[in-house]
Amino acid sequence: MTKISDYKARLLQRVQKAGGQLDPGAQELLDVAGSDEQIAALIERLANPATPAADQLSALNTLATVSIFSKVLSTRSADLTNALRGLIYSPDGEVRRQALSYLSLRGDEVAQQHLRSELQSGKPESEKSVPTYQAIAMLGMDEKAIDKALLLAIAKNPPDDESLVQAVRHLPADKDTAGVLMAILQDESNPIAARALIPDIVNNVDPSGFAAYAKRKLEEHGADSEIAPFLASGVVNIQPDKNQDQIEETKTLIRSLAPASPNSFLKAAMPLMSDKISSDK
Amino acid sequence: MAISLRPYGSNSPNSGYIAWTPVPLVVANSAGGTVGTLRLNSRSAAGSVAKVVFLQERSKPPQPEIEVELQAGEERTIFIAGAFQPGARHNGASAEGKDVTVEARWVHDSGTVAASVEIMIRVRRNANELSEKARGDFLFALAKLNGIQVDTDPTPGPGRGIYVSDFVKMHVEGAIGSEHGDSHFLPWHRLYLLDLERQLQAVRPAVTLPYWQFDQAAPNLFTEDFMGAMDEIPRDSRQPGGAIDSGADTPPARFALDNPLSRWQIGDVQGIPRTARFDPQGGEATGLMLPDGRDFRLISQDATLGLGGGVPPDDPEDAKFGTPRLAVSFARMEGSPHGAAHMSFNGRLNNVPVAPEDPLFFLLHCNVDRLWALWQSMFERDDQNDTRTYPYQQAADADPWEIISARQWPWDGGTSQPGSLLPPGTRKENFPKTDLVANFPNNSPRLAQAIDPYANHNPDHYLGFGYDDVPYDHVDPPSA
Repeated sequence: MTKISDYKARLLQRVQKAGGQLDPGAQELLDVAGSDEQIAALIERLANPATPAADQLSALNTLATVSIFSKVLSTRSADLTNALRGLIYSPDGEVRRQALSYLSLRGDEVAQQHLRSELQSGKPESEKSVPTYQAIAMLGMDEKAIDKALLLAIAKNPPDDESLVQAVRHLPADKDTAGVLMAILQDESNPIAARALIPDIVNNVDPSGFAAYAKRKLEEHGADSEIAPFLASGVVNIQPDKNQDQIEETKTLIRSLAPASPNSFLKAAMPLMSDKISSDK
Repeated sequence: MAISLRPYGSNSPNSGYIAWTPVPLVVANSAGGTVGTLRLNSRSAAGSVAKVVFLQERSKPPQPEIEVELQAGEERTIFIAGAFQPGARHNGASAEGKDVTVEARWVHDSGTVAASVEIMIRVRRNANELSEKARGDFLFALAKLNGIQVDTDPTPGPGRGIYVSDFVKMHVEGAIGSEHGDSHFLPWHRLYLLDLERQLQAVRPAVTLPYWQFDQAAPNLFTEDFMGAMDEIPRDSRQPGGAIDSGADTPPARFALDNPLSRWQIGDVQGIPRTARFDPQGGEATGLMLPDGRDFRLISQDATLGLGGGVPPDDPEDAKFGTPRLAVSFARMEGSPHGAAHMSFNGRLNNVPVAPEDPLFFLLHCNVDRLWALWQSMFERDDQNDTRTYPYQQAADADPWEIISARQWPWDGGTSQPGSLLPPGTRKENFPKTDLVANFPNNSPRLAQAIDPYANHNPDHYLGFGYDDVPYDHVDPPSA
């Protein structure tokens, strides 16, 4: 039996070789994190309109990094919030983006209102503080900050593919959204990244409607299409429904396609195959 | 059966789960039963290396078998523990379930098993080395806590489970001071991990939190079948595509469709935005280069364990936990490797108020906690009254919530400090209870109760978990 004391002695030997020092960069950041003076100076750089954008970005990223382990920064959060609010209108796109992101992550209402107003406006993308898809993602960090109507409006008329994907990613599963989402799913000109998200949103809002669509597409195109694995996954995850026959027919089709299907489809269908194996036993 | 074996002295179905710390095993003989000497040893299941060791008393050396004299109607308490076997898979811990059996035979009838009990040596294991079943059990339990439907039991729905309502919302902007920035960081997070782990074990008892050893490559972890495959971005945040982002411009990690995490949600929002500043398939995390040119490098495990000093030729007695403000203190690990590990990603993980939205958070923090446990074990820093173990012993030493006797938000039912948040979800005075190891008065732990989780110092402190490479501090057996 190995003695625990021997095991620990070996660990200590390894530690002795390693030295036990932080790198200079990490040491400096720990010092910043614990220094009210240095934190205040960084916030001041953000608040000063004369600070070049590169220096603002540098200060912002240093503060974002030390926010993970700084006790001092949390006591200066009001000052930091005020400074960042001032950067929402910075002429530098990256400064704007990072300021809005930091504020949104902390549920700042001024930043949220700014992002919402821009999404509701008819501004061209090039004139917005951040692209629509990023604004959705920032607002989505606080479930109360973005409403369904706004997301649906973007999903119906997205400025670009990325915005469609983000709108779909944030839409809730309910009767109000299911119709729009099914239309996006069925339109094969839409990006697969958006369509692939939809089966697991709509499958339990309109189980039989979704199962009927999945069955039709799988009958037409088999298991090889890009959307097929996601349709299979959506069917697999349907909860019991009153129109269970439609769902069972689709499951039977998926089981029959699975053995000769691509790996992604097979993986999606796997729970059904396990059911089959169990029932065969 | 005339003889019964009851780990922890309990009839609970959960009593067959032990770690490295000795726990009682009650050996009971029925009235009118055989009188004599029982010999107890352990038998590993096929393919398993797990073994149990036996101790006459907690403070005695472990031995591979033990003899117990029993009269009719008598009960005797001995102790059992997992056999720590350096170099074996998981250092001798169970891989995925109960895979070792404690058997009792009468010495006068050694061919017959008089009683037996199945055991799992259940410790937290390296995520990169988990078996397929262990991985599947963990993902199942995690998905269930998210609210994802993974079996026929009803759930609140994806993004609406206790993981979101409680655990994501315990680690938010208004609670940062209660949890970070000083010496209370490590014990608070130890409690946070244990709370989640007990929730996971309520779903699947064989599950423990796996740890991501971030200073080593983890190709089995960052896959579509486990915690997600992801894109690599530049380590240098000044390079194109390397700008720091917490999710607005970060693509989601990719999951296989039979991985329940493919349906992960936070509220209505699908997916887990995450990219890595290292090669997820072949490299270890290394931190990042900041725009100001500072290299925020993640330090290795061995360097981390030396942060508190006391490394020869210095006297190990000098090793101290300290505070992040001291030049030599283990608490500086809150910066690196902890902070540097978070910043090795773009996505939720690099921003405190939303970091637990990505469940990789708990694997990262499990490794942070493991490093502390390993440091505690090496330097024997588990006496809560020793300032080298924890610096803030008196009310005047630090903020009230950082003193060793302080109850902790949110389980204390009070408000966070200095954020004034009420406890989220169901956490108020609701730390999960156990019928086997230490509970907390009013289900509300104090920092002190996170200091000695292996009960090296005090048997009443045992929290019921272990790490596959952090042994219990047994008395050494006599030299041969």
